[in-house]
Amino acid sequence: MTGMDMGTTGGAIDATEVLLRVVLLFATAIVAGTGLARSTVDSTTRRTVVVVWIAAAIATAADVFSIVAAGAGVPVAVAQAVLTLAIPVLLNLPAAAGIAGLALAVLLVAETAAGGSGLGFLITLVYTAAVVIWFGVAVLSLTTATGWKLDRARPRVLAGVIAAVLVVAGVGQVLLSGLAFDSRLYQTGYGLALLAAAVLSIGVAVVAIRGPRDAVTDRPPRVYRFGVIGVAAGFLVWSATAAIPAPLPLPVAGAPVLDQVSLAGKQVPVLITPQRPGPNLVHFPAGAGTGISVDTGSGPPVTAIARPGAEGTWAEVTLPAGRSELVLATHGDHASVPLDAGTTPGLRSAAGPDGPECADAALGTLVAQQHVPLLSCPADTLDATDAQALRALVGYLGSRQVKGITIAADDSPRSVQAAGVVREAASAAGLPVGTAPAAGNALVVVTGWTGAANELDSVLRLQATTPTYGYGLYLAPWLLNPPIVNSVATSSLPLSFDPRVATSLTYSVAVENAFGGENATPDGYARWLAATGQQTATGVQVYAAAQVDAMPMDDMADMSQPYPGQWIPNGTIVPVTGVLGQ
Amino acid sequence: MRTMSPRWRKMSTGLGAVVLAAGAVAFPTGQASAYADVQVVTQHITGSDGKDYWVQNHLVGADLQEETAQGTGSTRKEWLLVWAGDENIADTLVPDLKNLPGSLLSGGLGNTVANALPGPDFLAVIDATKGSPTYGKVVNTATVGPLVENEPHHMEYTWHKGETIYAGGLFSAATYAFDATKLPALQLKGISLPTQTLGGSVPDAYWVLNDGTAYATYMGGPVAPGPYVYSDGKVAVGNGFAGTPGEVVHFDQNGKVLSQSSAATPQGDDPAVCDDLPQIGQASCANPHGIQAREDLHTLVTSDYAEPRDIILNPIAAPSPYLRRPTVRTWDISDENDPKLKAVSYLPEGPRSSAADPLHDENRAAMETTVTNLPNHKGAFAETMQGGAIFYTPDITAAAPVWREVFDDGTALPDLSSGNGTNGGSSNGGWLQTSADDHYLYHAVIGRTKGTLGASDPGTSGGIYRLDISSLLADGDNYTCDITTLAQAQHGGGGDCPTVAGAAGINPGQPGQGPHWGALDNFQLGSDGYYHETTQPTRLAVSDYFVARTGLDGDHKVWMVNINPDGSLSVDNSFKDELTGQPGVDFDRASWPQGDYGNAKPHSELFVIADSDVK
Repeated sequence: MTGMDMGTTGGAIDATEVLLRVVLLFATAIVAGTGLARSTVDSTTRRTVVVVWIAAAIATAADVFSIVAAGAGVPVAVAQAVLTLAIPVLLNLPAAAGIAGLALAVLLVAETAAGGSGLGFLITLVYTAAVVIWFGVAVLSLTTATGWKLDRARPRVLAGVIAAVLVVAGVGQVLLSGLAFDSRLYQTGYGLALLAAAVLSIGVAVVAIRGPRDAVTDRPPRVYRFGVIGVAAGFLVWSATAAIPAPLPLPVAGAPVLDQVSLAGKQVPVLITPQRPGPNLVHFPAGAGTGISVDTGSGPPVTAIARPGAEGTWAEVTLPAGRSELVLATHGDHASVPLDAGTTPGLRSAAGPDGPECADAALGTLVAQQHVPLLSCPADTLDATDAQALRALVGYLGSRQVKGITIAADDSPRSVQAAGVVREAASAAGLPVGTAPAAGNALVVVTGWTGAANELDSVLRLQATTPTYGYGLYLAPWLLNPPIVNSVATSSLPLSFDPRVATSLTYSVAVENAFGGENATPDGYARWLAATGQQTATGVQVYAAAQVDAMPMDDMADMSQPYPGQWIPNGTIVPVTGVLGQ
Repeated sequence: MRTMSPRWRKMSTGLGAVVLAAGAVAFPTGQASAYADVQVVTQHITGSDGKDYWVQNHLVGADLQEETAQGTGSTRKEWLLVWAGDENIADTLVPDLKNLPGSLLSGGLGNTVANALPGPDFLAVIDATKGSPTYGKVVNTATVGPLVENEPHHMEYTWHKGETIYAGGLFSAATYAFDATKLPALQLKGISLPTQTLGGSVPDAYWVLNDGTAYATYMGGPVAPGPYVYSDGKVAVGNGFAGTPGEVVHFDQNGKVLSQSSAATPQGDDPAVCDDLPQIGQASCANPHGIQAREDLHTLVTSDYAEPRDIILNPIAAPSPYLRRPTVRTWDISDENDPKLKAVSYLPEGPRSSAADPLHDENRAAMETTVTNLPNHKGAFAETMQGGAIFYTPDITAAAPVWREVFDDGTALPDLSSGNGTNGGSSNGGWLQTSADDHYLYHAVIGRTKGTLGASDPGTSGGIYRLDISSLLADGDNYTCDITTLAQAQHGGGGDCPTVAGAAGINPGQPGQGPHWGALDNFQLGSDGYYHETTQPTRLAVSDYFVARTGLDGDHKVWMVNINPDGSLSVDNSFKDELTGQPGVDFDRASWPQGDYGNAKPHSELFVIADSDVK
């Protein structure tokens, strides 16, 4: 889907699977409904039998094909096929046909609502049940001339009740989607599908109330025949909505945006920070691939590229004030993301060398479902917790009797302050501080992500040939980011939280789910904690990180298995000190 | 007033049933599980960091009561304990939901089934009582917390009455000490955290001494780079967590650290064959993995496997082959709390060795070692994972033990599967164990994965084989066996060299899907109704899992293998998975007694008996 896509959730859909689903559910509903309603007529005609056999054959073919094409479970598929084929065979046995129809209806409900939960599931459940009954009576009405066993008034009442259920379900689904009162209802495929289902349900209700009244009492009422067109169309749309990605919330003016678009057959998450007039970063996870271009409509498109120390790819673009549209393109496909940058310019640090870290901090707030303007970036200032962690680290190094400390810093306000804290603490501990590599020194890195990646890259090359920093590589807390810690054999960090406990792992999983492929970072975690009202003060401990893997086999040099729930993919991190400074 | 017709009642009832049935699907009741009547018993201890650690038993009441109900409750139980790690729930949940015909969970609804938190690791307690109606059933899972993703690895090699069970976490760098006296329930006696073993990291294997204390190999280096002062006063310079040099830790019965001893030598090891990343002042191969002791000889043997961390310096080239170790270390343990490193022996290269491919030299990655047991024997064996060979030295008490290659996996591979060739290179051997009577040597091999030795390499399948080592040991120091030619590597060395005395393929025909680990059943049921130790085991258990991150993930099954009276080995087909009905207990399942946590990774196992049932 391109062009009108305003950002959606969900993965790429296979057209064959969608077609298979719609055909399967539709044909199954006809068969199940006829079985359920069989008891309402004395006998069936040849036409009834033919119609049900045709529907059963189509449903069974789709059912069997779903095993091959969509990997459906064989036991369930076989059970469904047996039930489907049993109903036309049992049409002369009303009670048996009813039982089979009931069982098939249960399966149908489960399939129609698969993956849903709570109120959404309940709505789909009643909607599907109503459709099944309507289908059943309609088939009998269309194919059976006489022998209607219900009294005169009941069928119309039933039609009215079913229509009411359809209306309530259709309108309820629109309300539940959150699209009822904004433009996404008519500007997105998902919204239009929901709207169509609701409108068709209302149409059916009109037919049920205002439809023709039958003079012959033993003939199935014609209202079902007329109404079935609307019911069928509505059910087709309803079945297909599962294949249409739901749109994400509209952007909040001036607040970072976490969106998702369908692009070149993939569902691609996209993060835009700070979403303010001026320079902004557009971020894609590594799984989105490379070569995505970002076009704001003014100036040439910008291709997203990797940045040192950060995951995924990044494009720096300039946004205009107010509403605009970001067009993303790759491999001949494109999608758009609606934006509203507001009028206040954003933070400079949100798009500079420290921009990726700021973006991942914003991601923490977004993962907590809070859409608020980005008022500060981590690199703007050294916070008290990190300052305390650095002091504790220097104290620890002093206790290890390092020969000296080599500091790696940059010119960001946080790094300047952090270097000052380290120098001050080292001076107090009597440790010499320098900026050149030395065999007997420990390296303390207090740069931003970019500087750390560059520094560690040069250290790695140096250590491959010469014993350097024999007392280890120590990173400031904010550098706990996989591209940084995994760039060296091992590194250590003073952390004020435990990345192995349930709360921190919950965040790691939440980030993975919201922005597939991204790993948790300390700044994002801190903002997620704040947004969710949690605290995890543990005191400062030094943690060691390494990619422990007991050596990959020689033919499997890259066996990445980023199990969600790890802060360091393919790595481990453990405390190597108690709480420091106690 | 009209009354509802029978057919309307039927339809209404039917519709209601639909709603109720679908509602049951829609609103599951939380921890729905294939296991019912699970009794949960939790025991807490406080770790050295002041935090709460626990073991939580999930005892399956139905299985434990079944025997009583059938009137066979008088038979005392033998248990197989399997130390297993959790895989993420998303690995199994998504495929299950995708199974519904017409569902689109591979695409549009995929995000509704999100990744979940890692589940707890656990010790599975499986009924190993032959003939029991619950034979092969998981009757308890003792989960540990709060640490997850420990990567459960090894326990001791053999369990004896009253012993603590020591179980290590490769990634968490923790050692758990379990009390098994009240099986099938387990209790936690203690836990050793990384901060208590600063001289090493990445715990691997355990050897329990006669006094119930245990030695452990910590394969990785001191947790912080730089010099570390060990409890024996020795100073070793390391390159950090999961690096080099590793150490030997001595634990008391509660997992409390009694001593730490560096595996490094003051002069370092041969820089030509020992690489370290980053380099340390003196090259070292000291990454001990396998560990066994002869207390009567006051000697401990450890074998060095590899620097257990990885950094991709070059995304195209494989890591340096010299990060895999060719060395075996012998220690003087006259003073248990002060093991003294006596010698570092280099395993010899073999006839398959090639300067062009040193990774597959016979001496690469000395994962395991096993000692002989009888008083008149002083030798030991070692095996190599990448090298695919078995080595022997007749005297571990020697000042400088000399090792020779005495067997190549290539000789036994055709016995594991008729499709296997005779190239033992990179057969991924693991568990190596002498029999208590020193007659046999058991060895588990995973097999070589397809393409390991080149694009046309079909790989080899694995299994368990047994060697007759009686002639070799009988010749004492004058043994002649020495594998020096390709023909000997492929067909055996003749003379007093070991010969194949039984083999059982595991997943034959499937390259690289064999077992990594195993345990001999050292118990038999006596006429008095109690279990007694035996030196003539009639079966063993093996498990198909190494470390997923290495690419050797296995099929996560645990098998029982019969040691038949005629000397042959055969898979015990009556040891079946309770859910699939197929031979072998499958740890890839949706539900466990502790909940629907999905697949698990079984690394090692032990035969264990409740204290009241063993004499």
